Amino acid sequence: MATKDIVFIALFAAIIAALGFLPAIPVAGIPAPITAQTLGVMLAGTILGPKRGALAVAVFLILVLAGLPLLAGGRGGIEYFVGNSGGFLVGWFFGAYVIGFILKNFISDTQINIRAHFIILIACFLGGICVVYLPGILWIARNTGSSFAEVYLGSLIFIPGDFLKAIVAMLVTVAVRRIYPIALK
Amino acid sequence: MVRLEGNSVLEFDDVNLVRNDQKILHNLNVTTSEHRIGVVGANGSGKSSFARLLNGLLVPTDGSAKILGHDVNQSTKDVRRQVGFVFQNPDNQIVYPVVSEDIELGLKGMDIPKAERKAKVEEILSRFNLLHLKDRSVHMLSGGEKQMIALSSVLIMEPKMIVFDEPTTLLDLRNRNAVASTIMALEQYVVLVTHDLELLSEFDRVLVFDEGRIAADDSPKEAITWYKRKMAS
Amino acid sequence: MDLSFYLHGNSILHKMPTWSKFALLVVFSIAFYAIYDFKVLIAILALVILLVAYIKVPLKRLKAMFALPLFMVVLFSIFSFVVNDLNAGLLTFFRLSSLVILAACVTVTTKIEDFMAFIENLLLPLSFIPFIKPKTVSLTLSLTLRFIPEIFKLGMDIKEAQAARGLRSNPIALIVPLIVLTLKRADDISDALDARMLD
Repeated sequence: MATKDIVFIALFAAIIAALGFLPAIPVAGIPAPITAQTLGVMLAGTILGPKRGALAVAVFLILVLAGLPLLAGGRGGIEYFVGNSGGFLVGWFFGAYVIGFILKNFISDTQINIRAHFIILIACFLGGICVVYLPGILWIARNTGSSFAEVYLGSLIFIPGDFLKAIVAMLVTVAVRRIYPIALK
Repeated sequence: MVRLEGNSVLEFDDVNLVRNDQKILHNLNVTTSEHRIGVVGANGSGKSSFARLLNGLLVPTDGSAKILGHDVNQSTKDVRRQVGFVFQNPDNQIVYPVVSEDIELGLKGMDIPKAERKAKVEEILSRFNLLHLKDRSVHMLSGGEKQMIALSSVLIMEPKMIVFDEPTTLLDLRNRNAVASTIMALEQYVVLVTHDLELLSEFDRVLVFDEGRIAADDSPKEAITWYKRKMAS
Repeated sequence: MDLSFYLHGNSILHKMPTWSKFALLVVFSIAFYAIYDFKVLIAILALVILLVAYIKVPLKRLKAMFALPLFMVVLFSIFSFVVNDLNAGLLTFFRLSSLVILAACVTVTTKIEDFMAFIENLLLPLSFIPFIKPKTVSLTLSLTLRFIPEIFKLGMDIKEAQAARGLRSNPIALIVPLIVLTLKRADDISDALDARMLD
C-alpha cells in the first residue's frame, strides 16, 4: 500500500463517519428517514474499489467498536456489535468489497456510459443490500431463535429505503467519477 | 549551527521534470550557498514542483539535483532527513488529532525512547510559547496556531534546511507576521516559495520562475522589480 | 464535537486490561446461548444492572447509553415472540439485554487509546500482510479521527454556500462536492506524510 492508499482509506472512513452526523434525509413514502451512512458504505466501494473500500469500512467499524459515537445518531461502542445490528455492521465490510469488485471488473475507469450507470446500480443493490443483509439476518435469526425466512420477511420493510440509497449512490458515483476519477483498487 | 563551508546548498545541473506527460521544469541550472533563498513566480510557473524536488517528494526526470551534497535521485532518504517541508495548508500537513501526537510523529520513526520524545515535544512547543496547546484537538486551533504547529513538527526533526511552500497564503495579517518573524529567526537554510513579496525583502537571493524556467536570479530588490514588471506586462 | 463515551472512574472494570474485558464479553456472548434457565438469566441481568450502578454511571447518562440499544432488544424480543412463542421472546430479551448492558459497561470504562493499543496488538500476528502493520493501522485510525471534524465542517460549509445561492438542500448536491473536495486533499496529505515520515 502506498501512502496515498492509506490516506484514501482514512479519508473515506472519515467521510462515512461525517455522513452519520449529517441530518437524515426525509424521503416521501418511507416512514423512517434514511441516514446517509449506509450510502457512505456503498460509495466506499464504488469510488475506492474493493480493497480500499472494504478497508475504509473496516477502519470506520474499528473506531465504532472502540466506543467512538460515529454511527448515525451519535452511537457507538461494543454493544452495537453484540446487539441486533452487529450482523449488518459486519455485512458493511463485505458489501463494500463486493460493490468495488463488481465495478473494478465491469466498468472502465474513464468511460461512464448508460451501461456503466446500470452496472453501478446493480453493484450497489447486490453488495449494499443483498450482501449486507445476509449476515444481518443470520445474526438476528440466531439472537431471536427465529428462522432465516421469518427475519427476511420482517426486514423487507427496509428494502425500499435501501433501494433508494442504491440509486443515490449510483448518481453520486457517476458525478464524482466524472470530476475526479480514481483508479479502483 | 555550522554552515557548509565552500559547499553549495543547492546544486541543480540540467534538471528536467516531466509529470503526466507535461514538461514542468526545463533545464534548471542553479547553484546556491546563501542562507535564505526566495522563490516567486506566477501560478503554474513550476515553483511548487521546484520546492518538492528539494526534499525528494519529486525527483528529476533527468539531470542531477544535489541538496546539501546529497543526490536527490540516489539518496532520497538522506535528503528527506535533512530537509523539512512546510506546506501551504497546515490542515493537510497535520495528520494526528491531538497536537502533541502530531509533533511526535516524525520522531516515532527513529529509535528514541518515549520519555525523550515527550520531552522534545514540550521543548519545541515552549520555544514558540505554544505549550498550552499540547493536549488540544487540532481542529480547535486557529489557522496561525496550526501553521506554527506544522512548523514545530518539522523543526523537532532538526533539519538543516527548511522548504516553505506559500506558508502565509491562508493566514491573517497578525499570523502572517508571526510566521514571517519565525522564519527570519531560523538558523537553518531556508527556501521560501511565496506570493508575499514583502516577506523576501531581507532574503539573500531570489529566483523568479516563469514557465518552468528560472527567468531571473538576483538580489531581492532587483528580482522583485523584474518580476513585478513582468507581471504587469 | 465530543468523541468519547469514556467515564472516569476507579472500578475493577476500569482497571482490568482491555483484552480481559473483551475476552469476558466473548465468553459471555457464547455462554448466554447455552443458558435456558430463566432463574439464571434473571440473576445475570440483575448482576449486570448492579454492575452499572457499581461503575457509577450518572443518571443523566443512562438514557443516552441504554435507551436505543434496549429499545432494539425489546423490538426484537417482540419479533421473536410473534414468530415463535413467549418462551423464545423472553429468552431473547434476557440474553440480549444482559449482553448489551455488559458491552456498554465495557465501552464506557475503556479509554479509546487503550482500545486502539489493544487492536494494534490483536493485529500483530497478522503483520505479515503489508497493510496490517501495527504502525500503519494506528496511523490510519489517527488520520481518520483527525479528519472527521474537518469533513463534517466542510459538509456544513457546502450546505451554507448552497443555501446562500438559494438552492434547496439536496443530498446529491451536498455529497458530491464533499467527496470530491475531500479526495482532492489526498495528494497534499500523502505528500505531507511522505515528507514527514522518514522510512
